[in-house]
Amino acid sequence: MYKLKMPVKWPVIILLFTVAFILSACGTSVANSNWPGMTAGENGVVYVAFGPGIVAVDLNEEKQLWVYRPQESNNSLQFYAAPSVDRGQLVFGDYGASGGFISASVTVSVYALEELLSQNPVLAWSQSQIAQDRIIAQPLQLEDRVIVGTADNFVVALANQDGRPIWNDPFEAGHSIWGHPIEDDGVIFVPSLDKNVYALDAETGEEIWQSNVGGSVSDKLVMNGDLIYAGSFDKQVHALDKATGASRWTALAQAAVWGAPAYADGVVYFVDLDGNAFAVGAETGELRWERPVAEYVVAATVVDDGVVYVAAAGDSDIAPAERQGTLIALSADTGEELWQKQMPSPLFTTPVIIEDSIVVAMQNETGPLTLEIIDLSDPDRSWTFVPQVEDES
Amino acid sequence: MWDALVIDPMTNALLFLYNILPGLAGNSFVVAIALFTILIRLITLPLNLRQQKSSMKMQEMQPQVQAIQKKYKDNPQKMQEEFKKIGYNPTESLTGCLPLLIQFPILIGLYRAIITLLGSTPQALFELTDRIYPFIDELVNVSEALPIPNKFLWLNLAQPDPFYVLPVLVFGTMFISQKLLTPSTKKEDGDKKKKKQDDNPMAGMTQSMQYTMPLMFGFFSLSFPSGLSIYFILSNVIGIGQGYLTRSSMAKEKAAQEAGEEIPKTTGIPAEAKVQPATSGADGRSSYKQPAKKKTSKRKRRSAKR
Repeated sequence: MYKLKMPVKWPVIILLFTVAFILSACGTSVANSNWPGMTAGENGVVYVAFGPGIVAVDLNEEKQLWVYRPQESNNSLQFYAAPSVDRGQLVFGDYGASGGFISASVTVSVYALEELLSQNPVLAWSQSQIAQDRIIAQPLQLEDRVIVGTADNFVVALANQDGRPIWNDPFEAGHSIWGHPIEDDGVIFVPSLDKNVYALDAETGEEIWQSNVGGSVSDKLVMNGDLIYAGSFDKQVHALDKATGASRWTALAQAAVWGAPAYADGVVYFVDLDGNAFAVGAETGELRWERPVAEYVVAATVVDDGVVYVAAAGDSDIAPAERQGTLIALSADTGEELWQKQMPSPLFTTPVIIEDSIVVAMQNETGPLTLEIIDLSDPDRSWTFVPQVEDES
Repeated sequence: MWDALVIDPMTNALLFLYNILPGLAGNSFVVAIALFTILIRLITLPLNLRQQKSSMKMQEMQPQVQAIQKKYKDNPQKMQEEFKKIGYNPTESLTGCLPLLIQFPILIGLYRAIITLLGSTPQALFELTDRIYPFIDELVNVSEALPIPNKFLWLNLAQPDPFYVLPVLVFGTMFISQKLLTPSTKKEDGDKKKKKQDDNPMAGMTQSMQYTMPLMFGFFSLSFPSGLSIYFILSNVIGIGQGYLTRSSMAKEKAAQEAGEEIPKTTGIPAEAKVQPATSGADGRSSYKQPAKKKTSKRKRRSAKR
């Protein structure tokens, strides 16, 4: 009874190892997840990044074209950044793979696929030397290069022929890049979580200007004429002069503006995190209308053919696992609600308009990735598609 | 439940500290982690001190305990009585692990709090906004404070240290901290040491923990976020200071006790096994001497024979 040999020593050591193992098992970057990233392509095809792969779904044929999972990844890689599709090339990044059980290094890759409408897309190139942290931002494809923002604060330019870095040095911001860069006339505009918007020379990556917008910019920028619009965590949308970065006007929301604003016909539309929708004049920022429409909105606002679409993540009073999403359609002129549609899971992903339909991607904690395709001419007509991303074998 | 009781309070406390503290190398989150570590250490201080003292006391008593075990191996009741006489409680050696066990929820909670606060993915950042208490939201301008800067020196606080500096520091500081918690022993040859460990499992356990713990935490720091490794290092450094002070104070107490008191109890155990005073070296560290026979009083020898 009093011989404290085995009873004390080994259980304590085993307990320590178990706890440390549990802790470390959550420690690698691959364990983190996110909501799906979705992009509309040509010929009625959408590309969705979710979990271990990228899936292409032909909505006209109502079938899955292909799923791409890097062969060497053994399902350990994760993809959540919306892919970029342009001129037959699909470019996307992953969330990184741990270098091994006793390695602190993380390998993050950018991939370019071609022959997208075939059954088997071809990997044109991949590049694994540019980042140590996830690719969360959708890349930007230009004529000869791809601009990629990384979560370890860098902006890099890769040749879209072979993926080799083009700039002498990558551009480094003060925090992660989550938002899709945009380009105009040889200048790249990049949003950052460091509360700045940057203008970079597309040829060299050198900074032209930076503009502090008072809060992080987590989603893409929107451009119209000589203005750039940025939704910021400082509860405002900022209109910046494209040439100098100077603030032209700001429009106040009631909470942080997480999703990107949308521009159409001289009006900028945006929704804050608390679900208040706003329409302001694109040149002056004067308020046209505002309306509470939902709770928790992180997806970008979408506007098409006189209708503003808001994808909401659900009621904050309900436990996250039980929340339902809502897709709401508002009149762009008045903000009046035209229709709304309940979804079985929260909507975090920005919807895409493809031909005569709007597509939302959703997932909950236990369910699979699901696409809901809603006919814009008759919102009561919709159908569901469940892509097969996981490797069943 | 776990989230509401452990992770959310920690997350909010860290966020509040982050917002009120000045930055270090451009990052006040590291300062917040440092202050949080000190607070956690202060909260667990009584428990840690008790564990440290209890551990040292148990180590000192081992020769007596072994002698009693040997003598009364066929009479557990008598053995228990003798243990009571010398003030030895076997369950106390188990409660010595209590501070360690209490630290686990803190560790796991802090791990999740750091990961959550650094919000390294949009989903993580979104989930963070769900966890913030309304009064913290009012005190801190959350929407402008988030996301927390992830850079500190060469580190990305949400990622492991790519240059392995932090894992080495975690190992080093934890080793020293453990060393201070373990009573020093003389160098012995392998067989003798093994026999001693077999006879004295407490010492064996302490010895193995001295190496196992630092190796284990150093090893797992390879994949921990740097922010958590910084917590480990700071916590160990405070533990080193605390261990050093406890040892010094115990050595002083011992010296005062020995100077002012005669050994009170007789147990029927050979005196050689009973007395094992701690002596304090120049560095304040204790060592344990085997008592010399000639120093045993006649009175004690007589009572031992009886």
